Amino acid sequence: MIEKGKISALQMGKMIYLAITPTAILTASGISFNFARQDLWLSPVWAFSGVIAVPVVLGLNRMFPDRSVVQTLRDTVGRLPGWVIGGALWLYYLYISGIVLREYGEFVVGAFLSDTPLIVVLGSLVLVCALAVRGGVEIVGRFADLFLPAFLLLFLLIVLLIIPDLHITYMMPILGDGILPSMKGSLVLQIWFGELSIAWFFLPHVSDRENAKKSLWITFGAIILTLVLSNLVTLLLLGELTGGYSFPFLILARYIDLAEFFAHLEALFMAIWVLGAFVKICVFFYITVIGAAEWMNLADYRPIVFPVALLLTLFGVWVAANYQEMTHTISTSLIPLSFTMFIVLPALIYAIARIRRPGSGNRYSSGRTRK
Amino acid sequence: MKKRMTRERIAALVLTLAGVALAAALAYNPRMPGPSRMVDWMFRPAVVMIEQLSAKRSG
Amino acid sequence: MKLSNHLRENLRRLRAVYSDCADVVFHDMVIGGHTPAMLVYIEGLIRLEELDQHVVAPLRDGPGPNPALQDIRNQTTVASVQTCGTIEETVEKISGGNPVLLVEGQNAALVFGLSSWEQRSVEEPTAESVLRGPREGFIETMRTNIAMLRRKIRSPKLKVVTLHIGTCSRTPVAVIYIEGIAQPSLVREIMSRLNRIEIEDVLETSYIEEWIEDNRYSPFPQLLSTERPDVASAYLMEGRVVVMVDGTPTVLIAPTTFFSLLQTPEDYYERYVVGTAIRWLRYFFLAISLLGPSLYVAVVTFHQEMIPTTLMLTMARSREQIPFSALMEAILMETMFEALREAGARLPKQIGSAVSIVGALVIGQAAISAGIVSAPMVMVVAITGIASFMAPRFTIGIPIRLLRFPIMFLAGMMGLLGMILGVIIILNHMLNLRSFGVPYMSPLAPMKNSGLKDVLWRAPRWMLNRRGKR
Repeated sequence: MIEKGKISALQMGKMIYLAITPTAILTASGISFNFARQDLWLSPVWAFSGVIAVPVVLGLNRMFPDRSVVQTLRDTVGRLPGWVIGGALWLYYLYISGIVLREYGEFVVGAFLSDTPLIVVLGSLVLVCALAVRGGVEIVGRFADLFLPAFLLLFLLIVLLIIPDLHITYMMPILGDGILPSMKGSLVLQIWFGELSIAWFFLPHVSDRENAKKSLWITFGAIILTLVLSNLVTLLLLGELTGGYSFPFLILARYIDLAEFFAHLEALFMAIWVLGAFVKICVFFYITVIGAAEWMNLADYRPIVFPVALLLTLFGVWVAANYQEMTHTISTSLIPLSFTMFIVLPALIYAIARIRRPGSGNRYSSGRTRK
Repeated sequence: MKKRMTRERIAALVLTLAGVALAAALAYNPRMPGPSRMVDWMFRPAVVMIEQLSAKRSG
Repeated sequence: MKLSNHLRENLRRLRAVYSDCADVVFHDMVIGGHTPAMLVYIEGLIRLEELDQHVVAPLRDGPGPNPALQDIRNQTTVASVQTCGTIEETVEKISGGNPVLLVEGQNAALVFGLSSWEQRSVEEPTAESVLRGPREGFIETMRTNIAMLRRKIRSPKLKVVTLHIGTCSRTPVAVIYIEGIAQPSLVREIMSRLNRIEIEDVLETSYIEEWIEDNRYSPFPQLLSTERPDVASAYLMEGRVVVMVDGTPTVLIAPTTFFSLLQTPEDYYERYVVGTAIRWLRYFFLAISLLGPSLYVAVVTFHQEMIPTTLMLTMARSREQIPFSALMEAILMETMFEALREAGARLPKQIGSAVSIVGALVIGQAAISAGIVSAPMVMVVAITGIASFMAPRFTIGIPIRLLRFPIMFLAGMMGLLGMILGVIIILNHMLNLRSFGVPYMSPLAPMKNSGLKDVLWRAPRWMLNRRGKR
């Protein structure tokens, strides 16, 4: 494995939480609303992708405890198919990173720095992320350690301060049309829950592996909780209008008006949210870089960090012509694509590995010795 | 880190060139179809299905 | 080169080494009326009366003809006597302030521990004063400093290893640690780094600091420096190592974390509620000292909606006539303030602080009247300046003060986002930093719960009693 750093199971949990939640609370509620309507807040509960992804990833790591993802691919399906799938995988992560980056960029430019060119906003963050990614998984883990408290505090603060303005009637009638609407609303959320399978890349580096399972499930639960809360609060404030906004959670921040002094704090909200988005982009950027480096059989990933940063910035611009097109992609074709790459692929690899070696022992006895 | 043309430097070079090429292409044609179009095309049946779902609801 | 039996030979060599050293005294004498001998010492570095009383006088009536070195030694009444057998050793001892006795017929010399010189009395260090707690500070003499530490930690486990660093200055350097608490690997690492130093002279601990720290290009110090024995002892008890250099009262402590640099001994001498409150105040104000002007620039330039309406009208009115943008204003005023501060540091103590404060006020007022800067800007600069005084030591205050400027630029370019990016870049550097293997930002990242109770707040003493915080 190229990466020699070690993180704790807790750090991995924090990293994954911050790798999923920030954009989910920002954009997902708007998209889900069109399907779930007043049952929006129930949608995150149907987190099927997560329920599949976590055990699959844990199982994969149990069978290949210290092999990287690309190495696992090669071990399971052979060198050529492994090469094809490995390439598709890291390119897919490059694409996803581009989408995430674009979401961040559209938010910042659309709501705050409207005069700044998108590529400047994207490039500046990618540059900063590149510096962090060069430090390896340990540094990204430490950033997650640092920023999670701030992010959570901000989230809870906004939720708390907006309570006086909420209308409980907006969630009525609860389950008025049965459970189907909320389940349809959860369709787009499966992208985010599927992202839990990024643990596949981090598990080999966890030093206290025995805590990994607990950590992942707790993270999973925390994400569901956060999303339920976020959707609930958005719904109770905006009601029918939720689907009309690109960034519904931003409206919450704008709404806060405390004694006429602490008003219009949405810039502050952006600043702290960016801390979360930064970790998210770092995580996906890191996976892209590691995936590419392992795929190309490099000894060290650091030299390719800046070139990939350039590609990532360009992808951020290239993935969509405008925000509407991107939202459309996310709510339609990205769902099956991410399902394939986040869920189906690891599950298939796990199944193949299990078939070739029945009973999940800790030794892979095939005589193949790889470094 | 060795200073000669190691594998890593070649990889970095290739990726940088790819980036520059993409940048040039985007500069000339900002509306060049992106990977999203390819993904849309790959999963067209799913896209149609989802769009039907939302058409039914957002009445 | 070994000493020879012939006095004249030894003296010839010594006189050659000490040619043109007018302060080196060659005092010839006769032991017991028979044996020629020579006392060599550097006046000003020895205790002359004691030398007369305990060496010269007894030896005049001294042992009989052809005495053994041991007899001569027993004749003197000095407590500390050593021998040395080479010219180099002799020179080293003489240079260290020890009178040396060379005797005809002996190929070893006697070294008397009678050194003494002018030194400062023990006083409170000016930069690290406390309201409650000891007011002793280290002085320039290493021997006294080590003694001060011994008084605080009266255990034979307190180990002192000396070496000499500096090809020309041969400065004594001591490495002090507590056996059983300090990690042996840490002590070994420090010794090896010290032994690698190739330098001509060591005038201050900062000379070696640069040589032994992990990253000398970082603005953040990776070794803690202090003049207080109680601080040094506290860190010794935590398993850290003290490096002392003769000739300077500042000692180095390794390893250190960013949060150690933000602590004062007073945090621990006061009650825990008080300690916690002051700690939080300090963190808050340090954040202001870093981000204050950037916040102002970002909000005024990009995010005016955040300012309450009434305040905004006042600010708009005062900023109306200013020809500069908020960023330019900020840079101007901050640079001016830093210059005043540095200038004030060099002035004599009594007028220094008065001049800087009056100067700042006057210049600020004049600048406002001239329409160069706005009143809110001066307020921000004043608050930031006061906030930066909260840094417990200069070595950590100055990086924070300096890093204020790049963040200001970023804030001027991209508002709050630029500020956040700047903070992330700095954090990235700090997260990558290590001090002798210890991550600079522990116990916050990587998160170590045991360490948090002394960083986030100051836990009551019964909770702090576990050792080995590193």
